[in-house]
Amino acid sequence: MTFLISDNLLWTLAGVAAALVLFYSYVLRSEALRDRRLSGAQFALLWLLRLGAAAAVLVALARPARELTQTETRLPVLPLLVDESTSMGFPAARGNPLVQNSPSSQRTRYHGAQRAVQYLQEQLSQTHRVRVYTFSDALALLREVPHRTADDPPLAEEVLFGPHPAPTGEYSNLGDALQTALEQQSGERVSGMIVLSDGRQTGGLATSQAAEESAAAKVPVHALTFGDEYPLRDLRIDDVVVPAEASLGDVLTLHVELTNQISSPLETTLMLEELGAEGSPPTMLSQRPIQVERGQHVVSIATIPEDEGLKTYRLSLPVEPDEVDIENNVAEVSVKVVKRTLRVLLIAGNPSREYYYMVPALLRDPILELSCYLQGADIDYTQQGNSTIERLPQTVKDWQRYDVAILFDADPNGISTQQLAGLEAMVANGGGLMVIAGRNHGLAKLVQVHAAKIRGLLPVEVDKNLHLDHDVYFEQPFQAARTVQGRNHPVLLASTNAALNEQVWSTFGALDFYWYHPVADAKSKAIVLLSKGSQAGVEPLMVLHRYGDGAVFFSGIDSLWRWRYPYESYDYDRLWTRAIRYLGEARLLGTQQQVSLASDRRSYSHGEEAQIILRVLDPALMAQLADQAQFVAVSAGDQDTYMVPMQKDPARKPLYRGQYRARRLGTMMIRATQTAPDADSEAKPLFDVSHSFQVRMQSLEHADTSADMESMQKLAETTGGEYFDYRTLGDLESLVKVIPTEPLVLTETTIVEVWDAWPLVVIFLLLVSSELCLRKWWGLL
Amino acid sequence: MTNFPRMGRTLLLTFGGLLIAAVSWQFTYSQTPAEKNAAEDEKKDDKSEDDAQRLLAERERKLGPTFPGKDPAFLVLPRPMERSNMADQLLTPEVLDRTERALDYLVRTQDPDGGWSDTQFASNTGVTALCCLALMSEGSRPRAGRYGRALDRGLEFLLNQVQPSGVIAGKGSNPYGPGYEHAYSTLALLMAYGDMPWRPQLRDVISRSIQLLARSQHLDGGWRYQMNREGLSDMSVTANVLWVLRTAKKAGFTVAPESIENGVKFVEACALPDGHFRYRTFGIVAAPSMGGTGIIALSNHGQLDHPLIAPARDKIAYEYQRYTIEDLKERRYFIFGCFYASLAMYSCGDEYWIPWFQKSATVLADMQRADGEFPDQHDNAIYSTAMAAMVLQAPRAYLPIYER
Repeated sequence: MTFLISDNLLWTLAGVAAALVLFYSYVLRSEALRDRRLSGAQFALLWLLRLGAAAAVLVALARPARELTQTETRLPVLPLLVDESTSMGFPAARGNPLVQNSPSSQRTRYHGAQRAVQYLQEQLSQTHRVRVYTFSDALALLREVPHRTADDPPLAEEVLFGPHPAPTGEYSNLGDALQTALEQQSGERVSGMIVLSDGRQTGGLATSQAAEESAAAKVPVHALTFGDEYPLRDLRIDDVVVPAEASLGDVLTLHVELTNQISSPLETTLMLEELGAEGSPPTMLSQRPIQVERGQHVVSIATIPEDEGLKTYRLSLPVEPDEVDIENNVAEVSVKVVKRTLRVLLIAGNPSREYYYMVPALLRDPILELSCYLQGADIDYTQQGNSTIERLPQTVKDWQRYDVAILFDADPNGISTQQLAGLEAMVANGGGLMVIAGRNHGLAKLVQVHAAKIRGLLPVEVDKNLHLDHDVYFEQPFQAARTVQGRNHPVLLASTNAALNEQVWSTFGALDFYWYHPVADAKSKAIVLLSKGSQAGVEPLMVLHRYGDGAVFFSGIDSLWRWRYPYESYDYDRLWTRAIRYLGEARLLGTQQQVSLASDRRSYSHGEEAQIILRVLDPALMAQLADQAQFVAVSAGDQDTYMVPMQKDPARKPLYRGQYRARRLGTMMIRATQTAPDADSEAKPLFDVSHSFQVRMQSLEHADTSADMESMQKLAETTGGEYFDYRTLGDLESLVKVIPTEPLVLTETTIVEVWDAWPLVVIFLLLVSSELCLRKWWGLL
Repeated sequence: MTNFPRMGRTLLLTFGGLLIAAVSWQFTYSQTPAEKNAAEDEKKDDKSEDDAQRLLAERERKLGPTFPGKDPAFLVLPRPMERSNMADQLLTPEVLDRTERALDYLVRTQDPDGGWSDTQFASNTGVTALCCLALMSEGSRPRAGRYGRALDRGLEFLLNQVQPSGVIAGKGSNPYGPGYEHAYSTLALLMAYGDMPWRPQLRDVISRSIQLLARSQHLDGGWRYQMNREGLSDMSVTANVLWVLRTAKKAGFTVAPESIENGVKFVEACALPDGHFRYRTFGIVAAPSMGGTGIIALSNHGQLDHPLIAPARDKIAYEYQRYTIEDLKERRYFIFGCFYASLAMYSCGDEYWIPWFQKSATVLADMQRADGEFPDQHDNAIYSTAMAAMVLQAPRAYLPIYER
């Protein structure tokens, strides 16, 4: 019993009650004194009635009350969060025990999660209120599993997952789902949360942050990971890099970017077929056995187009067992095969030993159409070459028929001024000139005879008075070494593989040379490729520079045939053909190909920033472009063109960089074009290269098909939960054991006022009316 | 307290060691941008260039030897399929040592006039020419290279022996006639032509020499010792002359096509179906040394697919495999035959060349004397040493007479 009246008021009431007693005492004493006819019993009875009435009033005023306590027991809540993003539709890990006995169509990660949920709800629905949620971009309650007793049958899996038989979500916002689930369980006793996912988050709140919030709320999150650490079993061709045009009879190399997600290493075969006319079977061109580790690789396969026209090539990889996607094992590319030749005119004074080896090297190149002109030959001599000539070109027009000219220790007296002017015009218009100095005539004689043109053409400074001394014996050997610029120059790159390139050139460095043609120095914008000894620029042996749209190559040694040891003509031949193709490239392909335009990726999401890289492969071209601003035009179809300014690489690499934020969807074309510094507006560009990339709204679900086991494990560790993956999912019983079953006990206390009831009023009225009646009866009124 | 300095040193050494290790790690494992680029490059397919080369080689192999232009002399053989390590495999330190001793022997035995003399051939232009070719096969050129001085003197000797008739032969020539001397000398001068600008008369010498060869072709199509049109030819001299004529064509000299055609017909007439060649169109079967000579003669007409080449090649390969070192050593003119066989087998590819060379090198090793010379049965040691040196240096591929 308690009184709802305050203490102060209680004392006041006590005072009032005392006052009433005193008042009644006075009234009754006066009445008694006046009448004296009441007996003691009557007097006492009246007093009792009066005191009783006063007490009833006091009780009412004091508000006596009593406390009532109520207790309620509730089961703890256990939310199960099932990832229903499309990545859960990928096959589960092969070792996942939950799907081992299922048909192959039901071995997805989602099916594994369904099995786990079914098991858990069967085990826990008697002791917990199991709430099954699904999440993708947002959390949604799938079903609250009804509580059941041991005698009740569990909820069937089909019923539970009826609304969501397959994953359809485009996102995996795991962090958001955890946060929302935590908020929705506020006020409940949460035994923990169980997340069933592949862990591959694509957006929303970071999982680590959600884990910290769960840990702060003391809600352990148990992580059940579906999938494994490896991407899905897939062997795919990602891209095929191939030139738009290929030369008839030359090697066409197709660089295939492929991804191996099968095994490491994987032995397979890359096949190249040519698709014929509709209905005709494809022609197998080449099969290349390959062995690749896991991950992305570039593998090349080559063919030689034998006829002209637009060719469609199909590249394919065999289908591996259990491959998730077999359509991506095949790629088709189209290449236009055109007949292109590089017409080379070799003018040699006399047949030195280099001449004997160099001519077959050039004749073996299917692109080159060689015409030799041996100046010292008999007058009725049939000159060599696959396009024989009887005399040197005379006019500028005659010279324009050639793409590259080689002056191999040529007798300057056998070349007229008019002929040299034609040669100079050919080079200025994109042709190439190779000057190989020899012991017969030397450069001084050449400069003396043709000073006007040859001085400008040569990439080296020559002392015209320094004639060769034939009485000297050259018996001391020296070594030729590549300069820093020479090491990266396309002419001297024997292989794109740096290690292999060094291996090839290591044999060159060991060679002894005895004679070289001295020159004063290399010109300022020229690139020294080879020098005597290791000091660059001191004694240049091989120099190159740009001249107008063309290029001029100089070699001061005439005994490169020494490189025939140890690999005979293998590297020797290729050195010459690389040099000739480099010099004739502008003519062969329309423009210089010594620049490459690329983006850091082939595909971007909308709003992403694309890094554009303009790489200048030729240091000589870089020197030529030194003071010119570079821009790259970006366009999408026929829409506006956006010019991206390109900045020189801060690390002084021979490249320019620019950024473009992808604002439009579709194929974006980027193009870099540049004319020679002093060229007129009609001149053809020095280079004109293009590249394209895709901008699309792309799902991130397929970006990485492996499970993020690390983040799932961290989630469990941070919150104090348990972690399971395909290795331990068979032991879900242990999870059931660690989930607490203590119920939520709710206690409620209510206060009921005792006086606020009709009996007290009746008592009060009875007492007062009795006292009045008695007084009336006894004649006191 | 007395231990404090020792502890300090220990701590200092430990700290220093850790610092050095950290710096070493940084240099060893951290990548500079260039190294990163190299690493990126390594992701590329490093076999693409070799594959392209192989593809072209396969196609050329299918086509076989070709002669672009108008003349079969300008034969272009298919490119190698791959980067062969044949040279490293064959040029063992022992072979290199034997070669060097042989070349040094030649230099030591050079006559004061620049020529070389053999037991049977004193101050002989043929022997001198072979010595010059041997020095060239090392990589030396006139006045340039390790043996440039000796080579220059030898070539000067040849030029000094040119007769008014054009024949390059001196007093020590073969009593049967200067056929060999003239052919070898012309060949040596052709190989030096283009590297001797201080001797402008060289061109005229060679030109006259070739005209002489054309004038002295016999009616049967071949050549023999005497430089005239009379008499019957022999296989050996004819093959040498054909070789010279083709080399002359490549060097810019006009040679009548019918000269070579008739010469090849003579060689074909000497051939037997089993791969052997007769020394002459009549008589007994020639010595095995003629096999290589025959192949060279037929090849020089641009016919590497000539039906007679395969049996001759197989015969050489069989005999060098079948016979013992002693058997081969005892053969008449073994080194002479070995030299021509080397020219033939080299052009047939590594499949034939490598086993042949290994066996030949073994035989030659057994024949070399302490001074470095390789004598023949007649105690001639110069020409045979020159030929042996050329054989042993063939894997170096520095002399254009060895063609692939």
